[in-house]
Amino acid sequence: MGDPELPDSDNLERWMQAAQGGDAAAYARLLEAAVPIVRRVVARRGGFENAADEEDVLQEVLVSLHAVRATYDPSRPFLPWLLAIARHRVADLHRRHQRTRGREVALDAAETVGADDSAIGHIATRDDGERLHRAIAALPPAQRRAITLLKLRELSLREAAAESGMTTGSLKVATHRALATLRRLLASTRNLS
Amino acid sequence: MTTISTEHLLHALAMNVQPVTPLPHPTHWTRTWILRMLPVLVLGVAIVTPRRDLATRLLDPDVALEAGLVLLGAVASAWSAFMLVLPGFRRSYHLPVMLLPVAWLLWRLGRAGLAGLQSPSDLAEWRCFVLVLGFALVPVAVLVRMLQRGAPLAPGLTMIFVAMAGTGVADVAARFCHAVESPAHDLWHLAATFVVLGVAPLLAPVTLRWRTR
Repeated sequence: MGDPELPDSDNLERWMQAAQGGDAAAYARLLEAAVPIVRRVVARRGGFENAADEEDVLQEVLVSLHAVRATYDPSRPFLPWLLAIARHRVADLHRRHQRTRGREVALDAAETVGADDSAIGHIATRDDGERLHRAIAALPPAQRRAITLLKLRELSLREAAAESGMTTGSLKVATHRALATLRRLLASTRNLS
Repeated sequence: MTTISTEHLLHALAMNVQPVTPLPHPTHWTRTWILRMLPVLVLGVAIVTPRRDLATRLLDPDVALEAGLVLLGAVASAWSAFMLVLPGFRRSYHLPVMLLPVAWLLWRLGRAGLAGLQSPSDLAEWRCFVLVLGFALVPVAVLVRMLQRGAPLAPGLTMIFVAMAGTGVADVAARFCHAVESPAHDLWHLAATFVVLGVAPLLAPVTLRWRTR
């Protein structure tokens, strides 16, 4: 093989054969050995926005590998099998990532993050912190995280992305949706009161 | 967004590993495909009613050779489709097998085009088109079902080979049912082939998807 970082090819093949027989310990060793190889394929492909996205791709490749483990032929070498799955899967996920990102950046930052603070502003002037708190608590997790980081803690998009592991695009979309949800929630509670 | 650490995922996968039977070599798999779809296809030909002189026709070396070559192309297509869902095969090594059905299809297209131009009145034989589509259903369905056990590395290309395999077999089956030979049959058969070839890759995202378990 020639690469000191890669485990011995015979070991990989033996572990994979044992894993196909249901040996959990051999499978754990095999997956641990596969992680750096897949990670390298992901890094070489590039185009993912941050480490969290790369980790997502790595995990999806591992799940795919697990799902198609019956396609490994014990009489053939393991590495070409692993690399074929990793390369194709990473390429698929990269395309999907690009499509998603394309949709996310279609929303203007100013429009999503800064434009409509009236829902929060309106409540703040009424000094009704408890209602706001309840409304934020009722938001879906991603929206709640986005609004907390960007509006309550007033972090920048970049800082919020780093802290949450979400992409800046996802944060913009989540903030936009959170503001719309808050407006709806607060309007309904106002009507009730 | 990551919801579980990679370490936990590895642990979960390893703890839930179940024994699996390795999938067979494409050659063995192709043989299984033939054995599975052939009885249904023979039954289909029997229901549609085979031509009366079928036995005599099959003894004609030209007819037998042509049917044999179409079937060979179909089998090569099925083999290629199986090879594409088994990771680790070097496609460049198997390119001749993959190109065989393509070359055969192009040759037939050229020949059928000439025949169609020479006798345009025969173009009324549109029932051949429906017959090929109907006969293609079984081999295509059986093949897709088998391929779903593999890894969809190149789903679009795989579905093109599925279409070539299915329509190749259907082409021969339909020939067994024609009451008379007509030069335009080839054109209708090829029209059906190209319809299936056009639709099959569009179905790839639905038929051949990565499993998550």
